[in-house]
Parts: sequence; structure tokens; C-alpha cells
Amino acid sequence: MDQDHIDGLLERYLYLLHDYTSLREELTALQTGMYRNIARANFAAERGMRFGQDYYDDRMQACRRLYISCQSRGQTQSPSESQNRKSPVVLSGITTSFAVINPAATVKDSEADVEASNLNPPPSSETEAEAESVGQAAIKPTNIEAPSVPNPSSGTGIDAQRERNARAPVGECTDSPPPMAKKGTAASQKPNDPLRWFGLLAPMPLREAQAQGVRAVEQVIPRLASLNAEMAAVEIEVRRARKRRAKADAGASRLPLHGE
Amino acid sequence: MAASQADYKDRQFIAVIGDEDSVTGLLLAGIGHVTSPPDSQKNFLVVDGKTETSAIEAAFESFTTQRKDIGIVLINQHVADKIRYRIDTYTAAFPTILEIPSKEHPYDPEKDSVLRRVRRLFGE
Repeated sequence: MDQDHIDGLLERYLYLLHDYTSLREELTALQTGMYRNIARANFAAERGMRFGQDYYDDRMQACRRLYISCQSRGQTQSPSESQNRKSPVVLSGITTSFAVINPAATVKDSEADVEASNLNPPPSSETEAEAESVGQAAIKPTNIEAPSVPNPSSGTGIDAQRERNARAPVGECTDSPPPMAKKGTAASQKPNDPLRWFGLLAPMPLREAQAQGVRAVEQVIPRLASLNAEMAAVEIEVRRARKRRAKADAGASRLPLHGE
Repeated sequence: MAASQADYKDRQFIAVIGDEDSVTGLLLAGIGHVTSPPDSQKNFLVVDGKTETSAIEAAFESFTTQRKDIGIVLINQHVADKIRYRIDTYTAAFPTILEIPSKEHPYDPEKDSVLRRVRRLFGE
């Protein structure tokens, strides 16, 4: 019984390790590309110019922020979300997951949703019939209802944020005002794109380096951190299970002695 | 539990300790942050040949212990080697430490703290 539990935990641990090593490879590839592009930008730059710390903005503000969520977990958990793996494992404790979000993109996205719903109010049966008669059926139901219908596969929290980030243009960061004060404040939106530190016309390799950096920060690093936390939790479970097994073995070996 | 929840909710920045190109690439992604004056604390440290180990250690200490707004600390593996004793004895849940490769020092799995934990678990 205990051995099966330990085997299940170790199996899960090995799947996590596999994910960790493949993410490591992905991160290495992204960083290699990033370094190459920065080197190309430096090579092509004017004499004496180097895209580095001399140009950093001393008042920079992060436009990609971390979002950490902890959920207590006492129920049976399937070994992986993405793949079909057998022998679900019971884990106790807390699951920590990390995500990097771009608040500006999230606000823009929600604004776009609001504007879309304002432009196309939710169709009642009457308006639907009217619209069909006018010939506007092509822009109606699916476009409007899509944002409001919860997608069971994507979840509501971090996954949804990731999807929004994936839809946002690379590197675009604005110091956006809160969603309430949006009208008439377009002029007050201060561009906060780090590329601007290096001038208005940043070279193409630097833009590519930025795109690779964004992918690393949004898609790889938070997943690595989450996997790290999950692996640590499984390690603790394995050690506990091994201790329980050792105690049970010690108890079983003592029993015959008492009988004699 | 409430205290720990408050602990991680405020951790919204990623800190970097690394060489100039690593820091530049990651700051281009928009993670750089300088707190408002008079503190004006940065969440990154550019390490070059002249940087003292004590400065690296102080930055690590600041990001991991003093500041409560950092959730992940990225550190170049060759820089982590300089303060390996600090990295190996670090056990707190937040912030998470991740070692990343640098331009001149490729990623070495032998030194990775996660993979070293794996070896320990399997009894090697």
C-alpha cells in the first residue's frame, strides 16, 4: 500500500522533472536568441554605443508583473493537466502557481470587450429577428457571446490572464489608467515601452530580443517557478511516505519478538 | 495562513542578478522596476568583472529577505556560483530562486539546485 503510494508519487515527480528539463531547454534557446540579437544590435550600432545599462531609465516601472496564487489541495489530483497519465496521486498541502501578466493588456482587453458589447448589445429574440432582417447576422451571436461565456478548459484565473497576454502585442506597455477613467485620457497614457530607452527607432534585432525576452518572462519563467514549487511539494510527500513505510516496517519486525 | 497569504499577494516583481546582456534582455521584457523616491530601490543588479561578491550577496539578501514585493529572483548561474553557499542554504518558499544561463556561461545541469534536489531524492 505504502509502496504503491510512493511509486505513484515518484512517477508524478518524474513527469514533473521531464517538464522541468524541457522548459529549461526552451529557456536556454530563448536566451541564446536574445543574446545573439543584442550582440547583433550592438555590432550594428553607432561607434561607441552599447545597448546596456547606460541607457536604462532610472524611473522605470514594471509593465509585466507577477501573480502568485496558492490553493490548498487535499483532494485527488491527476498527475498532469495536459497528458493522459495514470494513477492519480493524493497530495496534501498547498499548490503554488506563478503567472506573469501585463496589466495594460488586461485592461485593454476588458475595455475592448466592453466596447464590443456596447457596439453590439446582447441580442434579445426581438432584436435578433430585426438584425437578421437587416442582414447583420454575420457579426452577432458568436462574437458577442464569446467573451462572456466561461471557457471550462481555460479556467478563470491565471490561464485566462495568459490567454489575454498572448493576444496582446509584444512589448507593448502603457501606463494605463484604471478602467473607470478611460474616456478622454488617451493623451495621458504615457508610453512605457523599455525599447524607448534606446531611442525612438530601436534596431530590429533589439525588437527581436525584446520579443524573446517577453516569451521567456511570460511563458517559461513562471512555469519553471511553478514546477519548482510543485516538485518541492512532491519531495516532501515522498519523504513523509518513506518515513511512514520505515515505521511500519520497524513495527512489523518487532511483532514476532513480542510473540516469543 | 492569513499571514502567508498576505506574504505572497504583494510579491509582484521579478528580480534579476546577472551580466549586462541578461539584465538588458529581461528589462526589455518589462520587468524592471524602480521604487518611488527617496528609496529608489531597483529590482536588478548588473554584475561585471569589477562587482564585489559582497555586493552580489547584499543584493541577494535584499531581494530575498528585506524586500517583500519580489516573487522570483533570477540569477545567472555563474553569478550564483559566487554565492553558492547562500543559494544552497536558502529554503524559503518566497521568493523562488531560478538560475538562468548567461551569454558566456551555458546552463550546467550539474549545478542546478533543482536537479541537485532530484539526485538527493533518488539517493545519489
